[in-house]
Amino acid sequence: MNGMAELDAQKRVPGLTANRRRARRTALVFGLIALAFYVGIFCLMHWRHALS
Amino acid sequence: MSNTAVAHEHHAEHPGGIWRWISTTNHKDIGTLYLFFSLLMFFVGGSFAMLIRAELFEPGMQLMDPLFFNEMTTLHALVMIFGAIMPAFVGLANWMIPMMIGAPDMALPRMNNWSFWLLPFAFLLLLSTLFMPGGGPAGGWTMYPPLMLQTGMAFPFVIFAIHLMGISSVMGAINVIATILNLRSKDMPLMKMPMFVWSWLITAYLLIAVMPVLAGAVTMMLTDRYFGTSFFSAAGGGDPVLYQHVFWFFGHPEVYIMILPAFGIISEVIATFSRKPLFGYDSMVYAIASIAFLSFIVWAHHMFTVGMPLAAELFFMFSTMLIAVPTGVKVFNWLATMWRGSLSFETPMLFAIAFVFLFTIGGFSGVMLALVPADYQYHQTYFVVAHFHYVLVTGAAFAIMSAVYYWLPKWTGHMYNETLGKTHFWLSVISVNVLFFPQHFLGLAGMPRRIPDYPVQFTDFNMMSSIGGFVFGASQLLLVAGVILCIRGGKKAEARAWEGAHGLEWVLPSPPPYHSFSEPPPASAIWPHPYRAD
Repeated sequence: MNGMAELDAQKRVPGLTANRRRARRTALVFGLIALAFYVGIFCLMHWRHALS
Repeated sequence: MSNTAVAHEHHAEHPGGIWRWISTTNHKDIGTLYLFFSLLMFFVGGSFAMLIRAELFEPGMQLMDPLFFNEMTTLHALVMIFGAIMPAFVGLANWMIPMMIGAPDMALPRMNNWSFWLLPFAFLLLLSTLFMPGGGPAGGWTMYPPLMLQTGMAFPFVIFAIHLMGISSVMGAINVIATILNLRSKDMPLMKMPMFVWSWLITAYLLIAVMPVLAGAVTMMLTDRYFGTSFFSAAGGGDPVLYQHVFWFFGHPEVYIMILPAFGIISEVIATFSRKPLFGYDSMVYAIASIAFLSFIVWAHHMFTVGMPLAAELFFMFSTMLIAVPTGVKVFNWLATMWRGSLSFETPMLFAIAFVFLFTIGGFSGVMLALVPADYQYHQTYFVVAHFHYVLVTGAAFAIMSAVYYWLPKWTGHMYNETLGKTHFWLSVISVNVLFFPQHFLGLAGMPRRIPDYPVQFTDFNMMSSIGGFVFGASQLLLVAGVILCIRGGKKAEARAWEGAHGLEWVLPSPPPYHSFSEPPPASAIWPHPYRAD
């Protein structure tokens, strides 16, 4: 169990469980944005290539 | 059982020895790993620089063949950018952000561990290419095709290493954003956050936007070579110049990724040693955000000589010059913070003041390079080398050194040796100018970059530059000595190690407990906030 999970289990920081859940959602959103940029640059280059 | 006892009990369950460092999810441990890794890479990249300066000490071919020289320039850049500067800032973020915002740890501790441990493998892979048939990458850190496609067996390994570095950076950035947005103390609204935290929040957005673009560009180059595509191959209807556009769409924001956290550090240090609130907090935040925005619309200033429509040249010239405005706001705010402050000149402050002066010199030469007609003369000369080394060495690296001296007492619980620190500073600041200032003259006189040999008229300035380089390289051993001595002992540091220091990190004891804030910090520790006079 990592340190944050330990603290979470101890329930000493008010709202930590909810905050960690929100943090995971934030991470998922930004991870998808990064993935979209990666895929997007391929689409852009493919489109640019198709035009040339 | 008291909370402290509970914390100690759990702390005792964590593994020791090498397994502690491999499996750690603690933000301080991971911050330490990042910082030591970046120090190691600083010396690896630095040793490549020493070889470059040794070869350039006098005209003629002395020590190495041209291919190896080009491998050294390429790997020096890649190691310093992705292995030294960026991990150092991520290490500082790991150590400081949870403590500065009143959080117990980073929001995603397991991912944090992954972010770090990808890096040693990435750099082992990158450096191993030196021993492969055909040698390591030699086409410069920009990796332009078709030149880069001439790389031997090392090519796919370099691409894979860059992917690993990119994944590590993006995961680190996601963690920073998730931590700041979700684990910040409820008594700390965004516009009351420490400037270092603000600078990192904006840097993290930049990282998420541009690292995938670099990864995409190099992946396309990989498919061009091995899978028959022709994204950048003119023979197949592709366009090599398109790679340059895509690369610099990543590359210019990357420059700001390496300097925005430095702005945050300097804002913290100058306010502390001026014993005053930071002047113009709101304008500092907006200036960082403006610089970040502008960084996305200036990329083609790296490519003026490639050729582009006049309207595009004008757009990129003016947008680049516009960056001087928010940067000027920051410089004047730092000066105004110092104005009538009760200044003291400990090592972190010395590095911060040197940063303000020398980074501004790099900024001025940047404005010169932004001018299209002037850039036609300066492009691909040592003037550019001088410019970006003023920004990245006396800018980013000096800010990191300032941060290390500033927060060492907090990290170790001991004060560092001030005499050693000041000796390190003075040797560094003198030698770094001997190293890089003559390169302006070399560039203006027409010496091209990335060449192992040169006409005799460039000899004197090159000798001067090399001597400066050797002294600068050697003087960094004092930093290592200072850090080691501070870890091993020294005068005990108080919780608030510096008289003028404010912020939540100084509320915690030095060194801080395993979980930074296992209970939320009291609002009284945040208010009145040092960053705003109101």
